[in-house]
Amino acid sequence: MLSSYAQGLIILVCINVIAVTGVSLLTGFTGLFSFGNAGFMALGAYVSAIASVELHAPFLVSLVAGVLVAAIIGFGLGRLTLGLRGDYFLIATLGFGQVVQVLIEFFDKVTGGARGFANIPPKTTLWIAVVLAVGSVAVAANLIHSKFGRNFTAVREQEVAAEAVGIDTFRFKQMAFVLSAMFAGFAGGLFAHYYMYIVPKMFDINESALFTITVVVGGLASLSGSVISCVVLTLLPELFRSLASYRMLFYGMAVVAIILIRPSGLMGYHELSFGWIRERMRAKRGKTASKERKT
Amino acid sequence: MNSILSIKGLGKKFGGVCAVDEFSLELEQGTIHGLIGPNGAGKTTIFNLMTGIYHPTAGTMALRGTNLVGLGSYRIAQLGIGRTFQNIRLFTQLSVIDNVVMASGVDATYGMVDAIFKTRRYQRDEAKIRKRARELLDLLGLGGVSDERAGALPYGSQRKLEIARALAARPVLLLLDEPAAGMNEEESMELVGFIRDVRKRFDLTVLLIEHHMSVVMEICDRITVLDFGKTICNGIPKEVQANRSVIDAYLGETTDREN
Ligand SMILES: Nc1ncnc2c1ncn2[C@@H]1O[C@H](COP(=O)(O)OP(=O)(O)OP(=O)(O)O)[C@@H](O)[C@H]1O
Ligand SMILES: [Mg+2]
Repeated sequence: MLSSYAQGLIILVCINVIAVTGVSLLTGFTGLFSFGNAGFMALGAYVSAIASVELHAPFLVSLVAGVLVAAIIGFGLGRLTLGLRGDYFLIATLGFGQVVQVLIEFFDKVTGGARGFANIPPKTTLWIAVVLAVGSVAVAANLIHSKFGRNFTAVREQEVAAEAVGIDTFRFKQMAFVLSAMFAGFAGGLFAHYYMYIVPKMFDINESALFTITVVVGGLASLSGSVISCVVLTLLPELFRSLASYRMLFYGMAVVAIILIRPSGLMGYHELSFGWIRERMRAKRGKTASKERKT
Repeated sequence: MNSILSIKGLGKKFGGVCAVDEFSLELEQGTIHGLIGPNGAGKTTIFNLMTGIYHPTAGTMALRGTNLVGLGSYRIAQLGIGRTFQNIRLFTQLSVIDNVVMASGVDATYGMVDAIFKTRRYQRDEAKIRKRARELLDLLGLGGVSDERAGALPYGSQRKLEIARALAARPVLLLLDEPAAGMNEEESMELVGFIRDVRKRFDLTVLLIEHHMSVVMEICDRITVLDFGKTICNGIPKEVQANRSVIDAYLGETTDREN
């Protein structure tokens, strides 16, 4: 059996994968940048934790409550801010993330404030985390391969043309934003029931930035890229513990490297599949063959 | 006369500039109508007004009796006005066939739950959408390049792809903004045949902006001529060709330009 340290790492990866999957839909497919998704994660974490501890709700009910609250707040916030230009939307989400932190600290009677909220039952086991992460990615993948994913992509690629073929771009931005909030809220609920103790600091702007960076490094328009990048970027700093304090530096360098070497990201515009790998290998062979011919 | 589109007294000012002034148009179902005039006459602006990209400062527009003024672009497209763009606006990073599939929202009747569980309804709709996209590409002679990146196609093919994409949304009125731009005489004539063909096949009405006079005179049932935002002539091709002010404002100039 795996050591509890290894189990913990896998659970952490799974939770991050769920949150990043939401950001991938929003940023990688719809082209909207948000620095507020850790705020939704905080909502999911606190709502589910309070439901479990104070209301003695079953785990599943707590999780669903967290997801629903994140969805409702996401819907309201999207309504107010998605009409703004991209950079203003980004600033609005950034503000939202801050507001969530402040509110959690302000309502310390319910949330425990800056001291944190403790005694959450440890319900997120290895298997639950793995199954839910795989399920979340599968749901997102199927959405991407449907008209919903196409409409997200149309918004990212060319809004004027999207509207001209009948796509209500505002509605699909709203949908992507609410979905990303739901995935974040879900991840937050699992997170709370894994660590058993949460403080607002765990869901600060750094966390939001990391989600976005993960998606950019993985490559826009590639869910598998986001997932791979999430696994790598979550594990590397953990495996090299001594470097843990340089985590942000590491992320920063990864982004700069990606922008310089592969501007469309690790897997930009490609999904990992056997067909794609075969094609890449053939292309590579073709390249070396033509090089040989030249020489 | 069975009118499909009715525009009355349409006007658009950009600051002090009157790009479109007192523009009126009745389109008869099934006809091909030309919109011509010198550069900057306001032709593209009229398309942008009709498709909700700009909002008019005066006038009314209605498609089959439904008011268009104030509606969002997507809503107007859903009501049945499709268009192409003078400055091509494809989804350049995507494949040719995906560009067409993107526009097939009308044929996707399934909901989010169907998509998540890939239900039979989802599979049926998606298969139908793919099939129709291939048919449209074949119709435009793009069947052989359906997996290429749209942005990598030559200019003329990109313009054709814009038409295929517009058709995928099942319009009743198709607005073509200089579809023959960048094409030689032979390609233009091929395009003429194609436009006639789709008009008939899909029971379309077409409004066409074009500088190639051979195309316009060959294909249009009626023509409206604009100059500085004002309508200077409206009639059948023969009348337009013989009209003194049209020759002065535009046709004379194009002859000069072509020589
Ligand atoms: N967004 C805008 N802001 C300001 N002025 C504009 C805008 N769009 C168009 N115009 C002006 O309106 C006038 C008509 O432009 P329009 O593009 O409709 O001409 P056109 O007839 O399509 O010309 P062309 O044959 O060159 O395509 C021009 O004077 C143009 O500068
Ligand atoms: Mg124009």
